[in-house]
Amino acid sequence: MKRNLKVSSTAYRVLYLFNLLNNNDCTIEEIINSYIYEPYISRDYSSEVILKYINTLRRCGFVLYRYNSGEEFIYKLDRFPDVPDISDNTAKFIADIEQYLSSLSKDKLLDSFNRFINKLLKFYSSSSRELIEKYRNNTSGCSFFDQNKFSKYSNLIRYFDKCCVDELLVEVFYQSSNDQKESLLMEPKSIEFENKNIFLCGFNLKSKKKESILIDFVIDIKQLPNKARYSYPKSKIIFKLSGDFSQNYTLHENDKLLESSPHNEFIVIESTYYDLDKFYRRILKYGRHCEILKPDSQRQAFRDVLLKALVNYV
Amino acid sequence: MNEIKEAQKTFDNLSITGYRIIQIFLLLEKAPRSEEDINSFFENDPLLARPISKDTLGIYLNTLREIGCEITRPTKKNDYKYVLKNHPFKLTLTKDDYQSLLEIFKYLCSFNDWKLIDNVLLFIESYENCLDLESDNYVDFHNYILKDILSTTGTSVIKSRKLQDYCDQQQPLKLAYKYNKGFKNFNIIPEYILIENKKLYLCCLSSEYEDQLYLRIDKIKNIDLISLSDSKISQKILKAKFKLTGQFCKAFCPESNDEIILRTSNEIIVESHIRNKFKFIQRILAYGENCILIEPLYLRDQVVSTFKEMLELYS
Repeated sequence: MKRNLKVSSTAYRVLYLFNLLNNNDCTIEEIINSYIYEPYISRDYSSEVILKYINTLRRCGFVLYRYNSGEEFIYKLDRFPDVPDISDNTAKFIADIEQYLSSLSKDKLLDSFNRFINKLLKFYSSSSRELIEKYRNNTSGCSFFDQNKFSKYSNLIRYFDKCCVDELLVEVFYQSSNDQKESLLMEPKSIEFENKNIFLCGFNLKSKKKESILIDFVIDIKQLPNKARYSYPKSKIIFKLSGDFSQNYTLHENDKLLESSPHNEFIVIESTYYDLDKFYRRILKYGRHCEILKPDSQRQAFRDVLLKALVNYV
Repeated sequence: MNEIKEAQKTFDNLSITGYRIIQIFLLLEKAPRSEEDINSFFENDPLLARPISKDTLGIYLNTLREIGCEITRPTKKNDYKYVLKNHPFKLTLTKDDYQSLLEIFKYLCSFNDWKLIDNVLLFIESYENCLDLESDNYVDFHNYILKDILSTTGTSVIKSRKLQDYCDQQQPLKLAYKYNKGFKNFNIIPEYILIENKKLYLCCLSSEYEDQLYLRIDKIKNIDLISLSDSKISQKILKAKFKLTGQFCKAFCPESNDEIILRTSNEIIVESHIRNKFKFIQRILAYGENCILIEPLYLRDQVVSTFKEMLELYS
């Protein structure tokens, strides 16, 4: 604190305490110790003084309580005064996200979200908290995600996730038709979500390509003792887009705009891809309005895709 | 006597200076205040019951500034009021907090469900007032949500909320739509909002077109309500059949208008009810070599000639 400004040290101490409790739960001793590090107000304070300041905050409308942790009491700033109510929609959305993350076995994300909500609760009224609690206890489940559909796969998802982290090869058994069971050897890479569906993705050791299996078809996953050692080969592809597509195009995550005509009659984009099949699916739908320019090997590969597609109709 | 004792007890357990500074902070947090506003509050407060001098107020404001509050000086421009621009008592989110929120919202946005994405945006709006909106972490987060997950602007979001209400009510509309270099009017019945390639589209029916229309919401310039008699619209639904092979046998998720009529170990036959031929052909093209459109024959011919045109680019 600068000395040339005329300030009230008592007022400063109370504000300092407010700031301290706003960021962390503290014991009285911790509060006293933290004052020592503030040069202007640095001196020994008694517990009574600190309790008086805590009481002052309470009198201003803050909800503060203490809880017991071992031999010490810890003080927690639980709620700001006059906080607004949240809407019914928001309360339900919070409970929905929690249910969604728990049904996907996304434990780390759920922990992070809960930590965030706990920080946020300070700014929510008691009726808002009750509303969130009501939706948490509601057994009808998440409104945007069919938990029942995926709860039966939670062990598979968790197991596959672990194999991705441990970088171990897996054999995935899946149902290929109503009565047949097949398997493929895969280096697990990620779990992907698209349009409320879950895909187990990895590097297919036979085809040497990225493979995605819809979780609904997966019967079992067996971990193999071998360590994964492949990585997706990345391809840089330059393509040209024209017509309405170039006017309405939004750059994707790995896209770089290289060139565009004055009114976007055409655009040239460089895209980096590791899943070539996915990339082909993306540009196939643009029809004659899209052309791969470089590299030549990709022009040839895409030409082969088109030839094979045409052969289907001969 | 008891009342005096009680009052004494209250004062003993309280720092009056602390009480005043917190009350000034809370007053300024709600709205800009003049010296008179602050003193009027103190005069009416049963605990204080008297105003403070200009000098004392100055000391309190300096103290608030010292702890990190940004308070402007009263000028004609701000109606001679003190304005609290920023303060350190806001919700503090770390980079990791934002990272986790982004990851969660990314999952939710992958559903391509406008109502769900709007819930994400409403949720963010609900806690924005507790955050330091100028912090780098927040700015990065906000930009990511609006630009990278959903390539849109706040105006399009507000327009989409309005259009969503009209979809729910099936309210017939006349839209002025930016088309080429001018505008085109469409009389439509709105159906739902769709997200594709990070852009918001209104899916609707129009008497002038037999297919379902997809109109980019940012290109809709004017929305007028019209009466139902002006807009009786019936829609032609086309039946198509296609066969999927290869990788799609283990990764095909039927859309709402699809029905799987045969599934074997190496092929799936799907019957689909088409509402927009252009979108359907795009879908068939995207399946590439792993798909054969069986019927209708005229769409099949269209797919074949598109593949031929594409092949010419590589000859």
